[in-house]
Amino acid sequence: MEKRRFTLSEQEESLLAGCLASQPLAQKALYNRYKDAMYTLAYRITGDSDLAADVLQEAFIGVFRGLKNFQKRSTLGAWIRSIVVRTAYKVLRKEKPMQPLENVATDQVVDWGNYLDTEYLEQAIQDLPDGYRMVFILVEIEGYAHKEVAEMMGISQGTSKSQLFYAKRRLRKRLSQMTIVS
Amino acid sequence: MKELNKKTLQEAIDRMPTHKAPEEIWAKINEELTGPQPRRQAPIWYAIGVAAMVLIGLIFFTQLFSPPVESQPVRIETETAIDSTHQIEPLIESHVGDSVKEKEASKY
Repeated sequence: MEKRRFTLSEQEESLLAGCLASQPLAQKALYNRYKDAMYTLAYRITGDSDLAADVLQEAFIGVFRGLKNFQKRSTLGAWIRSIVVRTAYKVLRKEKPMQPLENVATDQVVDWGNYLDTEYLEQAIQDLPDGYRMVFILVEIEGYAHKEVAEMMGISQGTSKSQLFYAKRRLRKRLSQMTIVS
Repeated sequence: MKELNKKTLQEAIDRMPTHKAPEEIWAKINEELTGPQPRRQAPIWYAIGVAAMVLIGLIFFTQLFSPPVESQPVRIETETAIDSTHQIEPLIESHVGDSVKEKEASKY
């Protein structure tokens, strides 16, 4: 069965055509369109501004070189996002090897209360161990399914689910400490 | 309760700020895609200036190692002496000739 193909906007089609023709203006325009969102994603995954800059650079080089293979099975933004996630994961594993995590029951609910301070939340996410942070960001912030996360990280879906649970529990604990301290 | 928790988290996530990508990254990406940028061609007056400096240097060194001007007139003096000798001889001859003629005339 043939996979669904997305219809790109006129502007994205124009940018795509320009980039495929190696036009510098089109390449710059495409970069400018996505740079901040992709840098934010890279920064959240790596938790380090220098590593995030490396990820952004490497990912966009991959984007421009691999654009001829883009088959419109997702939006252009989603395709670039997946390259950034894979690059970030590769860079992160190279810089800081992740510890294997055991599966735990994930049917427990983490209580977030009625309000979460964004600044604390962002700091608490950065304080998470790499594996937890990556799964949390991909599932809760980027909206990936556990199956996709498992494929990208080379882990089982069960591991992805348990890491998400650990991440949420740690986040909740960290946020409580921050609220008490402040 | 579970839905409320999820909503609280999602609302906080939605409020999280976007970070700005550092400016210098595009230059690195562009360089990687196009290769190192060629250096700007030097202006023509720069080339002319360099050529003029080289020429001045050559003239300076030529002057520095060339033989001194005073040594050349030696040849000129010799040539002058030879010339003057050639000029004097006929004078002596004519003088001698005159004196001989006078002596012979005084005999008679």
